[in-house]
Amino acid sequence: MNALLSALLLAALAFGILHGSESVTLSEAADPDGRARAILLFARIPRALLAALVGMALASAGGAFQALLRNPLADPFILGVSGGAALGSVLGIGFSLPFELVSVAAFAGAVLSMLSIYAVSGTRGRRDATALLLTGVIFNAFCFALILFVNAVVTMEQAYQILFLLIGNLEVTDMGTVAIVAAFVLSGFFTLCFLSGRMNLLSLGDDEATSLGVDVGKLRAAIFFSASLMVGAAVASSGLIGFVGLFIPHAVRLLFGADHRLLIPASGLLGAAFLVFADAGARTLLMNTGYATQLPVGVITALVGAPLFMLLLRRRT
Amino acid sequence: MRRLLLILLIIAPLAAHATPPAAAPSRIVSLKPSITDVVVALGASEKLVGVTKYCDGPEGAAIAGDYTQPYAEKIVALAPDVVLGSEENSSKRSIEQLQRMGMRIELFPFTTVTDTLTSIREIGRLLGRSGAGDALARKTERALVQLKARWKDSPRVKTVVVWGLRPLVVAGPGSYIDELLDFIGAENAVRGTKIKYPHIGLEELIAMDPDAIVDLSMGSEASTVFSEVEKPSGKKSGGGPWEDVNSIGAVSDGRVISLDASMFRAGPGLPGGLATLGEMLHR
Repeated sequence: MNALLSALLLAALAFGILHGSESVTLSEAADPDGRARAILLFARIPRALLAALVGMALASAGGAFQALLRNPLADPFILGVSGGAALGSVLGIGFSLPFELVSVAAFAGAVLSMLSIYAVSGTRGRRDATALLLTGVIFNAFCFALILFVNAVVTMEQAYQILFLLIGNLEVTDMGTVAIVAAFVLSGFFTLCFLSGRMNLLSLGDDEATSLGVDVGKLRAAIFFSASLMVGAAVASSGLIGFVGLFIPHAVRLLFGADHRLLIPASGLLGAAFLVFADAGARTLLMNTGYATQLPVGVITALVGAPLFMLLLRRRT
Repeated sequence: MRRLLLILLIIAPLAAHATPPAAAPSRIVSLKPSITDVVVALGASEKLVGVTKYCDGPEGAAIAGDYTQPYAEKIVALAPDVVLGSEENSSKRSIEQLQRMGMRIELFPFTTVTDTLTSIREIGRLLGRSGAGDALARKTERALVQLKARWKDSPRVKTVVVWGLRPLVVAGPGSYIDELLDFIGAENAVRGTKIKYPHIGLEELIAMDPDAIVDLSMGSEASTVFSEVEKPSGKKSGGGPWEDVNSIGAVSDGRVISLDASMFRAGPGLPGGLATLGEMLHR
């Protein structure tokens, strides 16, 4: 199954790289100084790779959080780490930092919030799913209040940037940024894949999992930290792209069943492929019309994802 | 019913006559930097009691609003004779709110050069300085005509004007800056969209292959030190995504120009700002 999904991801990448508002053929791209080569190297390849990484991070983290919290409504943004990352970004934008430093601020925000949420949610000696969930939700609300506060005092240009951060937007990034995001996402993804067998036990309930020899506290921490780092990197590079992390794990569950050993890797691969396709749509749908402009990719993920998901759900029930 | 109409017909002209032409206002609130510039240029800066956060002076005037939002309470406290604003800036609701509070509001458009010249004249009239207003409008217009003549025979510089980097937002056809480029021998490389400020990708920018990129993404917040500073080629130009893309003519020729957007503010300062940009583009 994973071989099939990997092939799908490769197809998506090929499509994303070969598909754009300008027609670019591979023979044109052979010219080292040509426009076609520049479009591929600077615009399409980094962007398609970033879309794949972000999609992989959001979908696999979403699946992991659903297991961790035993809550089907969990998405990668539920545990507050995304709020911390977004707040870091917004502060960076507010202080007019260059983009690289805005990303650093975002990632620092993610790590700080991850550590504080983890610390706060476990103060009474135990760290159950509900405490973690509530801490995350409340922390998010607090971060968003601060974001709106910053938004109220910045200039119109900065407010526009903040808006795009909140609705999620994949912009062209240099390969250096892509490599950094890749390091965090891939290590998180493989860790989650490695833990996926124990996620099955976790879904039985804490007591059952413990009686089966799982150190629930350690497992929960491992899932939380590896997924959070991925989400932090994703939000730092492309804002809060919605729906992928909620809908892809559920779609995988409906298609292939709820075994996390399949669910987590499959979610990551399908999420990556889906976001690459969605971004190709966001880049090109309107570009050759009279209303030539790009769409934020979050528009496509929900517009396409929601009906697709309902279709799946109907077919299943 | 008919009698009522008759009465109205008789009363209406009387009522119109009953209101004398408003005396020249002595306390003015300006809700747009362009308007503040005009009032100052007409020598009435001492009458400005309130301006926006983004206006240049005058000293002593209170801050009475930001881009879109007039601070209603502040404005009431300033007790102006008239509030000058523009439809394109202020939200309709806040204008209506001020009107309900009994404020006299006058709106002046500044979205095109023609609008701008008309608005300069009308603000002059409102201030009781029609002569000065007409003269300022004529002077501004003459300077623009001269600019056009200056670059008449030069090759057109294909230009992309960037408003924001993330997202990459550029000035499209029909936008305010699009009209201005024509005065300085430049043409907008962004075409074929009905959206005034489209969000494009690096891909489209590479395909447009502009001769020059004018980066206004610092908005009007760029410090005066930053304005008019041209980034020479080879140096980082403030983080635009085009930085390393040498297939773009503007990048390989080093014609990426970062400027303060307020240089192109509609009003009496416009020809000066445009002249500076013109020299940079045709260098």
